[in-house]
Amino acid sequence: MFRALAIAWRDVFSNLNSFSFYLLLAFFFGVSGYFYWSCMSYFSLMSFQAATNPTAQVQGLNLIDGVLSPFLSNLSVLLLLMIPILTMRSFSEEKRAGTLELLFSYPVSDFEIVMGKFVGLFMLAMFLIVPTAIYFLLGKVVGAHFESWTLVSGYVGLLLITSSFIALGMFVSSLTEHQAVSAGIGFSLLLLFWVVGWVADWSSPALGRVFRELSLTEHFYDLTRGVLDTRDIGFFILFTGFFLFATLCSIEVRTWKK
Amino acid sequence: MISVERVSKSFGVVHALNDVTFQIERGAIVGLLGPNGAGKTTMMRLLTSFLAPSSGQILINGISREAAPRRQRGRVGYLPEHNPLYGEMTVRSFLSFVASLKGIPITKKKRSIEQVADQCDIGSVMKRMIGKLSKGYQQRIGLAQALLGNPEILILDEPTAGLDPGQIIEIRRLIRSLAKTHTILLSSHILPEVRMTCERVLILNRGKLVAEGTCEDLEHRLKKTNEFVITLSGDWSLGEQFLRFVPGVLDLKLQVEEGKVRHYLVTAERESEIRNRVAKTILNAGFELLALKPSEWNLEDIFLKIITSEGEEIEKELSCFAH
Repeated sequence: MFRALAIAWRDVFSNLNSFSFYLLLAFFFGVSGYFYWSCMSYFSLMSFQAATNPTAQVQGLNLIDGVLSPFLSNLSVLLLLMIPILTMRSFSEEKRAGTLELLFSYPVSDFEIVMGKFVGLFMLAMFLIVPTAIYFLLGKVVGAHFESWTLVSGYVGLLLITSSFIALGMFVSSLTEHQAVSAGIGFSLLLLFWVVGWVADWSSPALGRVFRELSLTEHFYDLTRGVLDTRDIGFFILFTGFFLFATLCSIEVRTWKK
Repeated sequence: MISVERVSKSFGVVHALNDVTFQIERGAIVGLLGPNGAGKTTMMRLLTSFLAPSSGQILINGISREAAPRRQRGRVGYLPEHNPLYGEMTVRSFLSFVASLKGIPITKKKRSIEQVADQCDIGSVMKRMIGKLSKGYQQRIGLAQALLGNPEILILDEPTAGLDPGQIIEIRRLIRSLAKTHTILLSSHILPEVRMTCERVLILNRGKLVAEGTCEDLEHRLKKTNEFVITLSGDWSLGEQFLRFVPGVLDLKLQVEEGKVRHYLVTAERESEIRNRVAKTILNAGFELLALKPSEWNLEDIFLKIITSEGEEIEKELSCFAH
């Protein structure tokens, strides 16, 4: 596994040395900051209205449903757009540049290469996600006290959905040497898994259940509200595992006999 | 030692390699030649375990890929065609990364890196970014990464491609110095370079091994006649007549005329040693014999003879030598 970590570190190092990654960071923090500000502002407005108008229907108004859950949902949409941009380089660029051939010539297993790439991308995603927790610490300053457990659950959910995005993005990247194609198809597939649950209500009950079970949003929603359901966690772990396995198969194709 | 036994590789309907068999002994330096699309890169990719053969077996020091892929890869240092490198890394960080992947222990890493840096003469650019270096330095870095971990076998795909003449000489010198301690298989389009560097050549054409041996061996096998060049001074027309009547001479061609001096290419029967007779005839007739030397084929001649359509017939004749 030491070799996988070396690959992960190289990928992180490579991104940290690229200007485009900092542009991506700036964009992400700018937009996520705006999301947090708008959620907090809306919540403040609703709280103010509730305080000044006792007849207003504000039952169930709390920081989790009013701020944390919508903020994390918005963040996941942002990641849906940005993760394919990060993953497009993982295999496509190395294939195009020929460095993947070099990597395969070293005494490293294909599994270690896939895990190394995954860990590297996950670490980069952490660079995006973890600093957003500061927003909630700042919220504390203005009196918005979030339960630590709910926050942890929400962020665990965000990291799980991010790992799913990364695994799918890596799989697409392993299929092509064109980065733009990789990002485009990666985004389209993620979007498909994002919206697949929407058609559940119009389908037959059996098919609707399948669609709902495949939907990333359906499994993510409860996690954003502090509910750690093993079914949701299991779904994301299986989703990630499946696409990592698909990536492994995709790069092993070259060693097939026929 | 590299042992390739009846290896074939197909990509769908395309047969890149067809029933190729050869052995490379420990410490040998062998050139892999062939026109574009002959299967050279596929052969190298098979040897580095990047690809797996459709049929047949490749043994590196007696170990097959199936039995121990990691061990097999650990014994081979590879410089791919076009020398792909991570341009955004510094030379030191890249070599450190490669050392980690090759499983060099942390305690020995620094020493190993310095050793290959010395060998490849890149010590002065260790802190610089690879992408900013000249092609010559990049090629040296490619060789340095292949040498890390001291693999017994080096596979070099076009190691001098795209370099200027000065850089070619430097890299060639480096490869020759490595030949003392490594088994080397290199492919190149620069045939004189292969002749100068390699002890033996393997020639691939359309996925088949059409010839193997030393250049001298191949020349001997392919030559159906005995050729030599004589340089004369005197009355040309009479000299030509005399030469044509020497028993065993099949053909006489004027190569160069420099004032009173003429150079002729004499073609004689392969088995007949007639140089002595030709020399005596010329001297007895009162001509001045300025030089008489055997005509040597260069590797281009041998290569073209095998590869061109004319070579197709030879291919059949040589198949018995190749296997």
